[in-house]
Amino acid sequence: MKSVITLSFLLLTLWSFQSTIPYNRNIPDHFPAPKSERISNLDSHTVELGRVLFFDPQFSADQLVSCASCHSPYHSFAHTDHRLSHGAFDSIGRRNAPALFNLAWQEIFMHDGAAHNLQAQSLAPLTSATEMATTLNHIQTIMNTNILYLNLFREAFGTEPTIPKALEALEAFQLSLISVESKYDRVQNGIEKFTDQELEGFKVFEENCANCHPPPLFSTYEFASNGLPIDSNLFDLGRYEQTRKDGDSMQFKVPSLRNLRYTYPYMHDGRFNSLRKVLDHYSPRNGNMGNSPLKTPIAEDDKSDLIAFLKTLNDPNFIFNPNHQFPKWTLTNNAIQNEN
Amino acid sequence: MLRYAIGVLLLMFNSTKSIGQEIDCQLRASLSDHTIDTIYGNPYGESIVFVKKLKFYIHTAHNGQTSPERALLLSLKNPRQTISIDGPFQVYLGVDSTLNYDGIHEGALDPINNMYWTWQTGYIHCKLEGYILNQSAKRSFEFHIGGYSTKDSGPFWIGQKSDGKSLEVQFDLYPAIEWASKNEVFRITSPGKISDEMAQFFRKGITVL
Repeated sequence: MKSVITLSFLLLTLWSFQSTIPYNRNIPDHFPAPKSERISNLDSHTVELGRVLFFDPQFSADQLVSCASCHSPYHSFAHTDHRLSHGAFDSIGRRNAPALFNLAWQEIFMHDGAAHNLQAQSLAPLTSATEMATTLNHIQTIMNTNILYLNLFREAFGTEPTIPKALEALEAFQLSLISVESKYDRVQNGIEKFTDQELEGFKVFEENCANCHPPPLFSTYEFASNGLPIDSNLFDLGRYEQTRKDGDSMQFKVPSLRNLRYTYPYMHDGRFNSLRKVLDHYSPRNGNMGNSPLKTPIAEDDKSDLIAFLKTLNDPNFIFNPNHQFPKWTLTNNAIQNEN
Repeated sequence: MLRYAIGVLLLMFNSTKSIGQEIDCQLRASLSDHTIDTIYGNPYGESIVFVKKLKFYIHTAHNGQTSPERALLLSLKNPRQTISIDGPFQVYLGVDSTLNYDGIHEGALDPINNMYWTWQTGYIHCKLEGYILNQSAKRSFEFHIGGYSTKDSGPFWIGQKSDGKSLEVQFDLYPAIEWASKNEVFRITSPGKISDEMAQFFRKGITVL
């Protein structure tokens, strides 16, 4: 009887150590239901573990690059002012790092849709020679020998660290990145109103952009060609590189238009530095529509109105959310402990 | 007191859970009539085939139900494994399509085993690597067959077992290597038509006893 009580006590101690705290999500009524089922079961400990993993540069081959190096919270988890993303040992990739938010409404990931699953997606940047260039054995070793991770895994999962659990935590953190507090959202909720110029811009947007960038997510998250000519140095064929179907050549995943203020440069290869240049691609000033997916040109005044509307999609609360930022206390203390 | 009572209940629940029967699994790889029992190969016609790596998933299902624990990673380096499963069971080459689509799993399916593509998501059902030596040339080959997007690359049903005590997986690589050699195909590392075609020859060569 005594041994049963002792075992029960041990079990309950472990049980209480792995306490589950639901992650508080705030999804407004004008949003559709998320595609991800996992978002309804997010746990705060798992999200926090994912955040620490996301910001920790120890895992890269040169121990200098983390996920956040190319996906900074202050840039809506994109790599602002960098046309192409930097990786370990000063390597350079061939695509512009996409912004990370509202991933729970997406079913396929990366510019060319290489990942069908957000948990598995992290494997690509972790092991790519031009990104973190690491190995799964290296990651496992760090997690097994670091008291910080041993504790965080016990809190989140009640187990020792494993690669699948680490990927699950990274997925949880990325699912928690929800951007729903722009001026546009407040207008939808009746809290604010558009200015006259923003309202004019919204009309221009609905006529020209909403097919591929429908609100409230401002993307279909499907693949499309926007008429950009191929960069002869990068020779990036987009979706074709995954499917090998001719019709998919130069198709890329349609990005959301939320948070554009923070995510320049634009396009899959970051070739445009400003929204005006993007709009000039879709509707050239000389009126020659070329390969543009638009049927009719957009007048220059209308472009200004459109930009005014696009600015209403910026979400500073998302950008400066402390839950999204570098886990200073956790990682700094861990570094000090390791030095000692 | 309530906590202790819940703890005792949890212990009772765990003790009554069925753990299934331990089954000893053994890989026997061959090239036609020649057995491969080391990481190197055997004479094949006028050429010599050296098999450096053979690594593949088997998944088992009982009453059509499978789980990550019922996946098994067999290789020339680790040809013996055990799994736990109840009653008569079906055996498939590759990773169950639902598990493959679902994401990343633990145990044999942990990507640390290097059987998960990173540039494009999806488990690799089977890896076969090596080279063929003949009088004029040495041609290396590398076949990685898998992914989640094409059904023709697997998984494939390869047999049913009813006694549930042991499982011998006989894998004759001759059909696959012969097809590759005849068609001058020496490298397949992504899903697609040619991968689907090669997969059919893996399927031809594998049986369970």
